[in-house]
Amino acid sequence: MKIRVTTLTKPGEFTKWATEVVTQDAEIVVRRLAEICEVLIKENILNTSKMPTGALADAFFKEQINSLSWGVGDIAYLNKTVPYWRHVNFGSEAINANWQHWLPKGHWDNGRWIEGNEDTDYFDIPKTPIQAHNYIEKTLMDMEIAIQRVLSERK
Amino acid sequence: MALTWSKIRCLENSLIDFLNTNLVADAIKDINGVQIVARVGRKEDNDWQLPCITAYVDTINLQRIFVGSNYRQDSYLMIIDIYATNEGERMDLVTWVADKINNGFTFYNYTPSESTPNSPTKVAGGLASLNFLSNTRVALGQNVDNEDAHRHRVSINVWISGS
Repeated sequence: MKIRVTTLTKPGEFTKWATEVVTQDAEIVVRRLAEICEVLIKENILNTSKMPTGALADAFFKEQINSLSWGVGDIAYLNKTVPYWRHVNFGSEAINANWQHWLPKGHWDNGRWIEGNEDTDYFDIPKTPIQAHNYIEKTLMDMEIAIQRVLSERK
Repeated sequence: MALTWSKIRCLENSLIDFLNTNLVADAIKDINGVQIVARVGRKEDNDWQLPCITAYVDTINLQRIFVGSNYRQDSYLMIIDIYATNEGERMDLVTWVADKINNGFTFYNYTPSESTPNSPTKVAGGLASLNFLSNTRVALGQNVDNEDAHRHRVSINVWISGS
């Protein structure tokens, strides 16, 4: 389909103006999608955890890369602050096998590992495997709907 | 009376049926000549033999077809995990799986039978179409056990059309 536009301005000026309008609109859309993605992934992490501490959910936040690019979940940051993020998402049978997954010094309290450095604290290995929470895939699926909705809002 | 199988359970079993039929038809075997199998569910059994493929429904989305409508377009998040014994096998298996399911698969309505619980009656009930959401190696680090050493995850968004 072709659209012919007649303007009283110089052709270059109109093209520049039209490009600015489209770019500004695109910036709003991608920022909105990043905001939604951050909320969705936090929600999916918290909803799928039995007793969430919030540490994993807090590690996912939106970050602007350039005016038209945003990201949620910086892998280097995740590996440093919550190194178990992959295991929680994909599930892992490795715990208590030949994988040396020692917990930091602490103790069990009502099913949760509490870090500490008291005389009674100790190092331990979890006895049960982590079941896959699939919070990344859930978010990807939710984003398919979110993208359609955000784009339809802009029409 | 046996409980009727829900759409989720039928969908999981339809995909496994489709994969197992094609695994046999294409003679997909491991390096020792053992037939590779697909099974429903998350890996929990101790009697597992690698390599193997698992599939299950994780989440359902009940979208309205349009604003204000109570008609829903259900879509299902399905997780396919591939557990291989080496990296080459992992890549071969995931390529085979992705190629096979690309055009969708037949959805069957299963009716459980009390006399033959392992062979429920199945009736074709439409086509399950899909979009790929992710297709990635599961990297859980070094020194993981055999099941996690060469894993691959394919996640798909599935919807059923026709009848």
